[in-house]
Amino acid sequence: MKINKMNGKMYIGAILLILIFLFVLWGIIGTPYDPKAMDASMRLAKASSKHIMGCDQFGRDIFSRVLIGIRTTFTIALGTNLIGVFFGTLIGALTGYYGGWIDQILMRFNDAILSFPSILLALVFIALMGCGTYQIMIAMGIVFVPSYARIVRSEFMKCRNREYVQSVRLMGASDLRIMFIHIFPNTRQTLIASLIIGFNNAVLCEAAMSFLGLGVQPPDASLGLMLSDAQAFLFSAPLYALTVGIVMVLLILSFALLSDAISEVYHA
Amino acid sequence: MKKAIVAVVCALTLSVALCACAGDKTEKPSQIVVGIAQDLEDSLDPHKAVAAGTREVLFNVFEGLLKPDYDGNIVPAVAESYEVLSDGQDYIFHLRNNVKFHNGNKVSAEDVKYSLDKIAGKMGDTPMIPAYSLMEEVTVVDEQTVSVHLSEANVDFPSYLAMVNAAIIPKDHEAYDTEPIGTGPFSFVSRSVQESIVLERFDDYWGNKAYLKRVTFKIVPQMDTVVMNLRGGSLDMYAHLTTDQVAQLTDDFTIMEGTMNLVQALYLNNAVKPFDDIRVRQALCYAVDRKNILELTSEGKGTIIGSSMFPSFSKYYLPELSQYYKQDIQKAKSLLAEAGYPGGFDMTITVPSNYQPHINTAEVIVEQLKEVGINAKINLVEWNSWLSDTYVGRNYESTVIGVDASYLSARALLERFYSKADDNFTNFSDPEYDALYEKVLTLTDEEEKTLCYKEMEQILTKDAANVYIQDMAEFVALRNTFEGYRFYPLYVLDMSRIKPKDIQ
Amino acid sequence: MRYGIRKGMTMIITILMVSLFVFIAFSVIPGDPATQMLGTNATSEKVNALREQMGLNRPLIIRYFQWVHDFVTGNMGVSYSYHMPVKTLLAEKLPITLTLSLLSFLMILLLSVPLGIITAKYYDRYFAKLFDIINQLFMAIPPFFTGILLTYLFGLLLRAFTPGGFVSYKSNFGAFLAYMFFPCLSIALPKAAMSMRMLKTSVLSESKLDYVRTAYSRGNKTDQVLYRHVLRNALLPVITFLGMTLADIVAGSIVIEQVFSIPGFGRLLISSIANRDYPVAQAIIAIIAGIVVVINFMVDILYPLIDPRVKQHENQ
Repeated sequence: MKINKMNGKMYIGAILLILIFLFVLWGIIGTPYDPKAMDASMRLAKASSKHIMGCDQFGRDIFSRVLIGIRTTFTIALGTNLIGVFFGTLIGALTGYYGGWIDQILMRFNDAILSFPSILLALVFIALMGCGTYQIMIAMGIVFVPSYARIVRSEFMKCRNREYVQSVRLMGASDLRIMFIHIFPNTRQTLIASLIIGFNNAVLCEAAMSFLGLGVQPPDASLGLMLSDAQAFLFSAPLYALTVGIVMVLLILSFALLSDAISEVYHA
Repeated sequence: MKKAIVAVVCALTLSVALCACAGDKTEKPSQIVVGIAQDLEDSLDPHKAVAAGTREVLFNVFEGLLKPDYDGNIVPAVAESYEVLSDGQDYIFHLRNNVKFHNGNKVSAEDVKYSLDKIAGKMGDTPMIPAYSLMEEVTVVDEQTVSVHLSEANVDFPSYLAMVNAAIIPKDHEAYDTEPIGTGPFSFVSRSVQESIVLERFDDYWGNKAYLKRVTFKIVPQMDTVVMNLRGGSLDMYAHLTTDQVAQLTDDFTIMEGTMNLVQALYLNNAVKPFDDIRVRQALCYAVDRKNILELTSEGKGTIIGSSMFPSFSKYYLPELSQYYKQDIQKAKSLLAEAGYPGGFDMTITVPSNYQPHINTAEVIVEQLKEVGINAKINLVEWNSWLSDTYVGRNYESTVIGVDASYLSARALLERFYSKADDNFTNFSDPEYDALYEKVLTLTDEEEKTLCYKEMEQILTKDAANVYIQDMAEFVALRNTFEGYRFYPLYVLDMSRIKPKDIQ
Repeated sequence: MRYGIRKGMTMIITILMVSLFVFIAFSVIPGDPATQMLGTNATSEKVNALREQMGLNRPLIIRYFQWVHDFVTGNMGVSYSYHMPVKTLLAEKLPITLTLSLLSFLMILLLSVPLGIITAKYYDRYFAKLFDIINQLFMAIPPFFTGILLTYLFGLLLRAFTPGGFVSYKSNFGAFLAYMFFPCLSIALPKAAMSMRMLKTSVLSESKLDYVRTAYSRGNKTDQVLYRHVLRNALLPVITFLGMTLADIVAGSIVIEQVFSIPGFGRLLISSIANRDYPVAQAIIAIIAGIVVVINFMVDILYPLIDPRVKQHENQ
């Protein structure tokens, strides 16, 4: 019974994610309409067989923009987490392996940043760098570094005194080799689990920032930005907000289900 | 546990009950709530008010020596009358003896001198418009008389003094920015940042006293909620509505149609290629169908214009210029070919993202330009970057924006095309135009001046300085329980003439 | 005691780091407030004069010390946009954001604790399973989308409130609270879902422990065991979660204020960032950061009081 339920979450999450991936691919190959092409005669047009989600306030096809929007959101989430994982692993590996006062200082700093709501911190960086797709990727990437650093550090601390590490060290392997060839592979499981949560958080954070008008800038599309546009037409075109919002919820849901399922597998 | 559930239910019902209370509106006809789109983010000090939205509110609190009326005439306010000495450099103002500040003090000649000195920049402020620094010396002649000596004659001087920026303020008051004191029909009561500004009738006003006891300007930042707030009863009036919004309003409102008193145009940077070629600019004028723009963006409402002047400045306005360029694709194409662009070219239209009407206009223009082979692209930018890069930095190809007149003279709209003007953001340069502008500054006769300004307008049209489009229509919605709203040729909201309707 | 002092030190260090970070961030921001203030009347001459007047031409380091000193003495500068002291400005807005945060927190408690217990108690019933699914869904809906949905449903369709019709707490406190209901609900729903699930899992895993079985076998009634023994221990992780949530709520209010046009800290922060009104943005971020750090500190301090095991663990 338990196993079935767990698998159910995994299946639904995976199916949703695969669907979303297909949409991303569709967005890369080509959209039904030019997502930036405006048509004054189609302003806020209702859903029809030609435009399955209708048109936005500029007469642009919403479905095409959703495709592009998912892609943008995905790219940003990916970039954010890559930055986070790269620097997080670097910092976590060094501090976890060597320990000492540098570790103490860096971890204090880390904890300080971690105690911060990520939106607030991202806001500061956005204020610093300006708005835009790359800016938000970098801002959120920096915000994500500490959490990865902490995870990697604790894994490294666990492993550095294990027997196999000791024996490799006796064989004369360099520190760098030990760290990245011998210890790092052991952090994989934990990293993958936190990557999924990281993706989830990145999607949420990007959406919030773009919703505030501080993330992706028009005429580019992202789900958060489209939702904030759609809010202005809630009265005359409620479906605009609904469709965009639901896509966003599905995206978040897929990551949440997957991460749930994975953590249940680990704890089972 | 049951208690907890009860608590949740209570909390929910209580809040819903409270919600019901929120809907009830106090129908006291002695006060009105007016929606405005932006907070007064520049300053409550009239001498520092930059934004049109700020001046529109402060107009109710402040007055200059002179002020504008509905028809665009300049009428006496704090001053009862004035004389110009023959050299045109000296003005003598006779003050009314019954004008009081909102703090109850009588306006003295000293206050007037202080205000004018402050406006002129003698207290360290930068004068709002350069012309204020012409006031070389302000002298108190006696209790009721002030004379002003200008460093050079300027016939538009009275119209500068009729701006809110030239308001008379008390000389012994410090907190101009936070507790404004003026002489207008309403006095300032309080403000709450990003929420509201409250004004109250000034009972010692020298002129026709206001009808309403209290006016609240409520800031409604999201355009989409304006209609809901009007319908829901939390707003009684909103002054800048679009056709879409008007369509959603019910019979509870009187809708008045006016013009925004803006020159909306596709402004071209005359200094960059290919817009430095008059033939290209003319081709653009021929390629655009203004009537179509109006039909697509505002159901045909608005007034087509052909030069940098809008109709409510009737004295200066030349209606025939709006017909100078009619859409003529063939002519546009041949002009482009002559200029060396037979296949058209690529161009960018920079538009501030917070002005939807301009974005809409730009969109239609993009479509229309396609017909002559020009491939235009809209670049939406933040208002801040528009100001710094496009307006001040002049780093752009073309832009769609509306330019308003800050004072009652054609000069307010024409000065910026003088090649040496500080605010000539289109880099327009024409020796004939410059000569006319320099000439008009020396003229004193009103007739001659007007003729001269009209000639300048014609040059702008013939040279196709920019693609002038329209003075946009705007709608004012006023709840049926009120009446008396009137339009000005300036961007102001005069609340003093609004009164509760007599209900029979 | 040693534990408290150490946590206190950490708090002070964190605040210092954060203040330095906030100040430097806002000092290197591109974009000139002087140009912005002058609007369409800007000329290079005027801009320079204004920069001088605003002290923007002084060196960075001097401005930082000046800022810290002034901030501590309550002088947070004058807003570039509103020309009033930032302190006055924020004092007026603080009650709004505070009400929003506290009410949201209250709602989370009121929703999650009873529902968490009920679903744990009847975990094998269908309605509890239905709740699981609803829960999962609510956790995936970002607060601002919840806000939009509530606006549409209750504002536009049911007319329970006027969207954008915020009423100041000074003019009508009841109407103010009423308007706050849906914004608070938007913030509360996803968090309540999380804390409810956490409570449920925690109660369930606690119920399987030996001491609970012993209690049952001694003939105690189900409810008694649940309330006397299980709940006290099961609430521990939930309390930590709620403590962490408080910080998230404060941050979440930034977005929700935008959705519901509530003129609190969040709206002011966003507009001041867009308007480059440094003193206001700086002060708001510093204050929110301060609040967050203090909340974290309090959670840290309170935690060992509830569960002595934590202190022992920390001291080892």
